[in-house]
Amino acid sequence: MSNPSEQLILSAAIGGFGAHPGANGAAQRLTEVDYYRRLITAAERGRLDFVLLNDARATPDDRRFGRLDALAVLSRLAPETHYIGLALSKPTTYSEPFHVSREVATLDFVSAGRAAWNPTTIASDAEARNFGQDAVLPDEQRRAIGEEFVAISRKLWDSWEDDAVIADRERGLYIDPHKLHHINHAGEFFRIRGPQITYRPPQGHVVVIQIDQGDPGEPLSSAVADVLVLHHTTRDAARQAYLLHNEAAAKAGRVVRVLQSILPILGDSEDQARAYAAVLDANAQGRNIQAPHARRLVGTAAQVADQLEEWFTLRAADGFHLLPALLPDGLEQLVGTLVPELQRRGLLRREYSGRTLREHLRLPRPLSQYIGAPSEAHTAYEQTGVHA
Amino acid sequence: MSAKQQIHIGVFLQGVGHTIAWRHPDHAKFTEFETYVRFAQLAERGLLDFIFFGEGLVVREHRDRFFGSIVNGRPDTIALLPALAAVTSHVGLAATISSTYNQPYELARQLASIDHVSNGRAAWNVVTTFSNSAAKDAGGDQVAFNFSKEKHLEHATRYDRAREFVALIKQLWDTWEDEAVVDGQIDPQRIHEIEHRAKWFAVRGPLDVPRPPQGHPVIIQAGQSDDGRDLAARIADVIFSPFRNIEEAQSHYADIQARLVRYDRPADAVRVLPGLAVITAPTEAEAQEKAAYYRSLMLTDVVRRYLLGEQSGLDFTNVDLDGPLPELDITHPDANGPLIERWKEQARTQNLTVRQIADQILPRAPLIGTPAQVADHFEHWVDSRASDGFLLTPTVFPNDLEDFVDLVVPELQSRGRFRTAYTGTTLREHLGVARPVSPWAREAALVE
Repeated sequence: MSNPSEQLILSAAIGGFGAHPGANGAAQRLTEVDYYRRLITAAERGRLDFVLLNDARATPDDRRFGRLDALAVLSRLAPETHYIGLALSKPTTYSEPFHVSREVATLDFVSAGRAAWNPTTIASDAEARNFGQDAVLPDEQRRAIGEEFVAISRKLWDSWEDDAVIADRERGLYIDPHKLHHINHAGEFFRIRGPQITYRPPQGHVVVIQIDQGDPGEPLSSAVADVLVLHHTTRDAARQAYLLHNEAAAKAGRVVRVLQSILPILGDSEDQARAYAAVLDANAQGRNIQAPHARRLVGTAAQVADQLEEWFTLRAADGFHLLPALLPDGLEQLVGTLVPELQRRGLLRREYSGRTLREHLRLPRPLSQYIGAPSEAHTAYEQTGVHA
Repeated sequence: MSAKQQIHIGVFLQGVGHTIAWRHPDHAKFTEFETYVRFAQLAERGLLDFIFFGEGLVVREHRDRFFGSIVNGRPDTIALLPALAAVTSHVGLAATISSTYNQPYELARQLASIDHVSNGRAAWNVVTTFSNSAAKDAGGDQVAFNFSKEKHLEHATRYDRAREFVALIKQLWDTWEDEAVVDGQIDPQRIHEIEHRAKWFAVRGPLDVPRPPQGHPVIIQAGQSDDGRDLAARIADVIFSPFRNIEEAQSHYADIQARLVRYDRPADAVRVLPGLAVITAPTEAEAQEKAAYYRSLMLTDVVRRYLLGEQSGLDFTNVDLDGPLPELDITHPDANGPLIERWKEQARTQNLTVRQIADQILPRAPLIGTPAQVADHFEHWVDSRASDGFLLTPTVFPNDLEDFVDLVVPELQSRGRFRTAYTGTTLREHLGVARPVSPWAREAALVE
C-alpha cells in the first residue's frame, strides 16, 4: 500500500451530456434520479474523491434540455452512497448567504461529511433575467460578492461551535449559550447578524471548490477556496500556479488543494482514441458550444495516466478534475480503464481510508473562528436554570 | 367499503422546538440524521399522509441573548427532504418556506426538483414569516437582520408579496407542458417563457426543471389573519389551523368553505387539518400519567421566566413566580399587546399568580386518552365539519408517534376511517386533491 500523500486527487464532473461540445443524449435522463445514481455509484466504484454536479438557473437558449436542482439530486443520493464526495455548484449572485450556507451545511449533515460547494456567479443574461435583472453584473462586482458570500458562509458555519449542543438535563440547558455566536457581519454587499439556525457541519466547513472556467468574474483564490481547479496547457505554467497558490494559502494559514481540469478522450489504442475524438469533433461542428476550459488528453488509459503521473510527481497539481467527454459512458470508461491504471501505479487509492471528503482530500477540519470569543449568553436564565 | 369520510393525518416534527421535551430520557437526538430517517419511516409505517417541518430563520433569543433551554437547531428542509425521499417510498414530504425571504425562480426549481426526486411527494407550506417569538411582529426584525434588511416587512405588505410570489411560482411550474418530454427528448415548442413583470418580481422563465409529477407540489397555508385565510382559500390544498376548541374549528371550517366559493373552487378542494398533540396509552390512567410527566419536564421556572420576558419585554429573572403580576408596559417594543392585556385581565379578575399566567403560554393542551377515545375525537371532529383530519405534533419523539402509529392507527382503520395501505403514490393521491390541469392542456381543450 502506497503512502496516501503520494496519491493524487481525482474528481469528475457529472453535469449535462458531457464536456465535449459534441456531446449529446436523451434529455429526459438529465431530470431522472436513476441517471445520477448510475454516475455517482460509478465514481464511487472508481474510488474518486468527489463528483461535481454543476447547475445553472435558466434553460439553454435552444431549450435542448432541462435539469434538476443539484442540491435535490445530491441530497437524494447521499443516503445511497457512503464515501464519495458530493459537490454542487450554486451561485452567490442574487442569493442569500443565510440560505445557501445552511443548505450546503445540511447536505454535509445528510451525507455525514461529504459535501462540497462550488460557489459560482451568475454570468449569463438568460439567468439574470430570472432574478429581476436585465443583464449580468460587472465582473468585478460578481467576484466581490462571491468572495464576501463565502467569507460569510464560513462565519455562519462557525456560529455554532462543534460542542454547542450539550443537552444537559440537570441544568435544563439544551445548548451551551456561550457557544452560539452572532456573527454581526457588515460588509460591502451583506449585513448578516447570525447565528445560523443549524448545527456546525460535520466537516466544520463544507469544502469550497473554485474552478477556472475562463470567467474573470469568478473568484479564484486560495483565500476563498479549499480546492482550486485550474486550467493550464503547459506543465511549467501549472507548476508556477501551484507554487503561487500554495504560498498564498500558507501565508494565510490555510491549506489548498490544486487540481487541473482534464478532458480525457480514451481508446483501446491511440488510433482508436483519435478516431473517437474526430467523431466527437465532427458532432460539435456548427453547434456553437464553447469548448470546456480543460486540457484535452487523447490516447490510451496508460498514455493519459503517464501525463497525469508526470504532472503530479513534478508538483504541477495535487490531482485532476476529469471532465468526461460524454456521459455516462465516458465516466464509466474512465472508471473501467484509467482508474485501474492509476491504482496499479500506486497513484490512486484502492479503498477509501476516511469517511469525510476532507479526509479524502487530506484537508484539515477547521476549528470555529469563534472559539473563546465572548458570547452574549443568557447568563441570568442559566443561573436560575439549575432546578426544574 | 363504507362511505365514511376518510381522515387525513400529517405529522409535524418539532425537534427540540418550543418545548423542552428534549429533557425526556427517550427524546431522540436531533443532531443526528438517523433521527430524521426514523421519523419519516415511522410516519410511513403508520401510512400517514405526510411528514412536515417548520421553518426557523433565527434561533430563540430575547434581547440579544440566547435561551439555552429551548434554542432549536434544525437542518435546512429543502436540503433534508430529498434525503428522506431516499429512505421512504410513499409518505408526503412537506417543507415550510418563507415567501418573504426567497426568490421565486430559485424556490420554484427547488420545490419542483424535490417533487421529481420523490416521485410526486412534495408539499410547500407557504409562510410570510413573522416573529421568532410566538405571535408578535417586533421580533421579526431579527429575521430581517439575517438577510441584509433593516426591517421586517409589515403584515399587509408581506401578504401582498406572497400573493404575487405564489402565483408566479405556479406559473413557473407550468412553463413546461406535461407533454414537453416525449420519448426521452424534449420538444422546445412545449416550453414557454412567462415574461412576468409586476410589482415585486421580474422573471422571464421558463423554469429549467420540467413540470413536477404532481403538476404543482401540494400547497399548504396556515395564516389565521383575514389576509392569511384569503390566501389559503385562493391557493391552498391543505390548511393548517390552530384550533383546539371544536366550535372555533367549525367556524373556521365554515369560513374557509365560504371563501372557497368566492374563489370558484369546489368544497373538497382543500383539507383542513388542525394541529394536535396526542398522548395515548392502553389505559386512560397511563395516558394521564404520561401527560403529567411531560408537563413536569416542559414547565420549569427557567422556561416560565423566559416566556414571560419574551412576550412582555420585561426581565422576569428576579420576579417572584408565586407573587402577583408585576406592572407591564403594553407599549414596550417587544410586548405582545393583546396577550398582555389578557394577562392583566386574568390577574385582576381571577387573582392569578405569575406562575399560573406563565403556564397558559405553553403549547395548547394535548388530547390525552386511550386509542378509542382518541379515535372518537377524530371521528367527532371530522363528522362535525370541524376538520378533515389532524396535523399531529408529538411532544416526545419517537414515543408519541410510535404510540399513535401502533395504537390509534389500527383503531381508526378498524372503524373504516383510515387507509390500510397507500392506494396512490403521490401526496395529492393520498390527500384526494386533484392534480392541477396544465394551462396549456386547458388551452388545447378549448381549441378542440
